[in-house]
Amino acid sequence: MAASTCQKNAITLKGSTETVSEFFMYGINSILYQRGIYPPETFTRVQKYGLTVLMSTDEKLKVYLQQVLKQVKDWLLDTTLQKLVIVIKSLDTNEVMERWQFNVECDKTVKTDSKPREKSEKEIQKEIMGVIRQITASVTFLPLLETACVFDILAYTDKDQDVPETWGEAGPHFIANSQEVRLRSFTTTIHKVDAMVAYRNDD
Amino acid sequence: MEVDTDNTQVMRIKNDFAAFLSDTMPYEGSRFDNKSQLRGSKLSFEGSIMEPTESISNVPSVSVKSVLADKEKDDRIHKAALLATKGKITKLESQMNNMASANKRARVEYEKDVITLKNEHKREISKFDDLKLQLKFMTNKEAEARSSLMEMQSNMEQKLQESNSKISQIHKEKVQWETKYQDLQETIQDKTSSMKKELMRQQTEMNILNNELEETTERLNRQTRKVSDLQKSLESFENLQLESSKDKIRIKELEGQLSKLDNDSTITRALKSDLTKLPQLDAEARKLREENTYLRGIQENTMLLKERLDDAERKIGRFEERSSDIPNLQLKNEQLLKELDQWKSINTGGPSNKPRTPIELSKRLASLQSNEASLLEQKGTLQATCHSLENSLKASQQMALKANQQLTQEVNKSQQATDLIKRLQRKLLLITKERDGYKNIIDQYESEVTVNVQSASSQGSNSRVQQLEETNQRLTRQTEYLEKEVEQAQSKLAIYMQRCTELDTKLVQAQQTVATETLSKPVTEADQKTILSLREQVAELEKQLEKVSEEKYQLESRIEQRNLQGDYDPTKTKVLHFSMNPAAIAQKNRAEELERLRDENEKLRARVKILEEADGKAANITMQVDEKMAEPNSSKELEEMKSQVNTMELKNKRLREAFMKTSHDWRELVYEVTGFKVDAIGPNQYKVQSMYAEAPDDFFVFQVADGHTTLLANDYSASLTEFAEEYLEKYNSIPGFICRVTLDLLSKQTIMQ
Repeated sequence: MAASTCQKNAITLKGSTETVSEFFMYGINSILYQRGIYPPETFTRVQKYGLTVLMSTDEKLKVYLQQVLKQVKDWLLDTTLQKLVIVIKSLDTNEVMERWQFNVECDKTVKTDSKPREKSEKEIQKEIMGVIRQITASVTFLPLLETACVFDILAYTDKDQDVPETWGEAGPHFIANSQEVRLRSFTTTIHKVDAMVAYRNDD
Repeated sequence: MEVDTDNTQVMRIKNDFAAFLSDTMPYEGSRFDNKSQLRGSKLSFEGSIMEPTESISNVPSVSVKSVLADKEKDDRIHKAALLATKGKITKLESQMNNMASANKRARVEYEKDVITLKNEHKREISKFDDLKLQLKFMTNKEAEARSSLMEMQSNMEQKLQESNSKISQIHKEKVQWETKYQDLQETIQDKTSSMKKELMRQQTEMNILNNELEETTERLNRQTRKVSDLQKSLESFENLQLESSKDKIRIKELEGQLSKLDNDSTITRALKSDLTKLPQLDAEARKLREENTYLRGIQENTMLLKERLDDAERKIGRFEERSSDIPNLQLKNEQLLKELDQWKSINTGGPSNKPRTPIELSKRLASLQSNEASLLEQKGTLQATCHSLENSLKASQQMALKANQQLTQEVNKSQQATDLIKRLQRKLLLITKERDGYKNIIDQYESEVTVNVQSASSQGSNSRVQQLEETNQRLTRQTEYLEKEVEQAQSKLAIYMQRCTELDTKLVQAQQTVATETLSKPVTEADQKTILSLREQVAELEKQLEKVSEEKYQLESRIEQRNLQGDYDPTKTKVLHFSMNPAAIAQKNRAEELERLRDENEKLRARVKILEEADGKAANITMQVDEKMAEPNSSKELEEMKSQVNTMELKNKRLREAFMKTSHDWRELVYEVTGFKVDAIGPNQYKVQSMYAEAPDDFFVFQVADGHTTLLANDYSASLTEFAEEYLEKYNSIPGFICRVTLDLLSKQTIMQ
């Protein structure tokens, strides 16, 4: 972060990792708010990316997200993260209702001591704003979640990575009859994040 | 012990006696009372019968005296008790009477009550039936209403879902269209902005040109107007000049007339003398009057003429002024003309064909435009020719490449040739050295010959020398020949080099010709064929490319789809999630909740049961429920046990099946190998029958006891005493006996066959 703040027009691997994980934090929170996974009164308004983003005040959830994103940061720094998926499933039937998928393309040539890339923070933030906006707007076409739902975060990593103690292997949580919508993407030139959402097609 | 028993017996007797006494008293009593009395008497009778026997049976163990004493004591006690009881009895009798009367009254009242209650009950029942019917009706109605409500709800839900899905679809489409629209707008905006810029530029250019044109036209107009004005003024001036000259002529004429008139007046004066005479004078007067009128007329004329003259003079003055202006105007005109010429020269650029008039200018513009069009056409044709020339250039370059290759080949050849020459020269050198060596040897020989043996061996040596010289000569010839060859090779090399240079020049020429010649150069048929074939190949390849790209697109879209659905390559990727994720926690909580609810449900059910059993009056229900729940026969445990039993039974069945199968197999094997079928017919008894048995009754029975196997006698074994004696008694070998029997049976069977 220090490098990216003092050099506003360039970005290092560390800075990119910070930016992307921060985006995940805000993105996940807005998805949880927009999809009503947690009650709306537990969310508080925060100004970020020139937008009003809703962040959860649920302590358990905050701790969970911090733990997850700490690991995600490590993976981003190793450039071994491929996808981050937020799965929304029904509590009753354990059926997957929605999959918010963030494909992460890491530039494996970049190392921690590599030269910083040319891209201004402002530009990146603008791109991220677009993605968050689209997440907010996608509520309009996503089907209503009628049953009580819970969420899970899946991380797709390289096969050769060790599994951390607190993590376990999981299934991909496919949706049997799904409809997919591609959302905007943003890039820090080191990490490229493609956003998309797949939801259950009841027709 | 005995005393006790006696006491109780005594008490019973007393009671019975009392009952008997009461029985003797006459009561108004019911049947019931009588019965009880009867029963009482019976009992007392039995008791009285029993007592003596018992006492008699007990007598022998006790002395008579003591018995008598006891009896006396008892009698006394009995009498006292009898008296007390008699009093009691009388009291009780009075009570009884009261009670009976009260009872009767109560019964009557009770019966009345019963009747009224029955009536009420009947009414209640009828009411209840009515209410039941009403309830049924209501429930039916309610069920109908519910079903209709359900239908309505389901319809509503369906509609809602449909509408929701439609809305979502529409929204999605909207988003897609919006993104498309935005993209389009952006592109359009870019295009329009660029177009606008160009348009603006062109408009500004146009404006500039128009302004220039307007300015020039204005100038032209001004010039032409001036010119026309000047011409007009010139014309009017000439007219005026003409008029003035006419007037002058008239003036002269009038002056002449005036002079004539002067002359006439002199004549008249001269004639005055003549006209001294009146008539003459009269005549003269008349004449003069006439003349006077004439003159008056002339005077008027002259006045007129004077006025005209004045006018003319004024006009002349003006003309003179104008004519003085003319040179200035001419100067100006000239200057303007010069400017015009200059402008024209600037405008047209070309020294020849200077446009004199705007029409010419426009003509010139048209011609220039046509020229431009023709030039464009020329440019097009030139470009086409250029393309063709480029093609031909490529061909010629290929030719040049070929020529270069040939050249390199030639150079290689020449190098080879030079190498050969070098080698030959080396060889030549070697040969010359050899020759020198030989010559030296020959010289040595010759010297030896000359020094030592001059006469005898000189001939042989001479011949040798001659031979050697011949060989030497041959060698020299060969060397010459080789040198010639070398020369030839060199000349060849020179020729090749020349050819190379020629080819180079040809190449250059060809390039030049290619550069100079145009498309019109005819292409050979072979080239055309190759070109056609190449074109076909190109077309085919393009088709293939199209197909492949289409396939690629399809595959990419499929991959994209799969990717969107979250597919991954399991060889490269693994999916991880935080073990304590909210979903897992929620699921765990849910399971716990479910378990808790189930327990609670069970408890409540038990509570309800208890309440039902106790008609809602059970005290301390929770305790009871807990007790009940703690009981082992709760349904849950029972079910568990049942399921365990079921599984155990299943296991047992499986084991039995497995055992049956193995035992069957085992017996089959034994039957096949030994030829005997073994069946268990009782505990430790086995029936053994040979496969060659002649009758179904032909079997042995073996008994196994304490580890010993013995043959039990039966009809069949009795018929085989011979073998039994031989094998069982002699050798104590059952297998031997069995074998013998088998062999016997087998031989019998084969014989029969």
